[in-house]
Amino acid sequence: MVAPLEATRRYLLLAAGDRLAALEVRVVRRILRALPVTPLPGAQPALLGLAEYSGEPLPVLDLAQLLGAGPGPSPAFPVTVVVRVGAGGELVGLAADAALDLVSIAPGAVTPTGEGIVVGEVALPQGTAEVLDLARLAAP
Amino acid sequence: MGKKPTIRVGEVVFPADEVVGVVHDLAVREPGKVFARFWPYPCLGLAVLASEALVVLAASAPPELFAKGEP
Repeated sequence: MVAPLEATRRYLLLAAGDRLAALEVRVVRRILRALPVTPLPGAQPALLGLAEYSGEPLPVLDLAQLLGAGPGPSPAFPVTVVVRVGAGGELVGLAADAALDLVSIAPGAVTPTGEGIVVGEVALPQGTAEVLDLARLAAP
Repeated sequence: MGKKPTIRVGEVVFPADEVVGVVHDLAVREPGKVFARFWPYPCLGLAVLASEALVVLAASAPPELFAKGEP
């Protein structure tokens, strides 16, 4: 008897400080060279500021800050990942040190953790990655 | 250095570092839940003017950190 194949999902693997993060591809709209950001007075540290993307204002969050990551190697090719968040599809930019790879992850391979936007951890050839659920950013 | 400008709306005086222009037809979109979570102040929304992204404030009810003039 053949065991049913577990459906895998595609993830974008990002580097942020000393962490790796896996972001489901279906929420990714675009990956850009890091956009220039205008900081906002009074913003919480994770909000780097606002950028302009295709004529629209785009809040840009620092992924390393969201993860509580420590400093990593100096990024050679930092990126802004434009994502859709939550049921409303709010466009948000995530500033990351690098977009590394596309990977397939089976849900059963993820060890649940449930802290902040991190829903679990998964062991990959590149290292242990934190699996993100950005909808939590828009949750009350 | 000249005196910094102020914007007066009714009883509210809104200090500014510089007035860079006056816009009549700015397309303003809702700020969104994620933005509001990380910038928790009252605003009318977000907009883009000359390739710069902006927060659009209600001059009659500016966030306190701006009303103080020392953001």
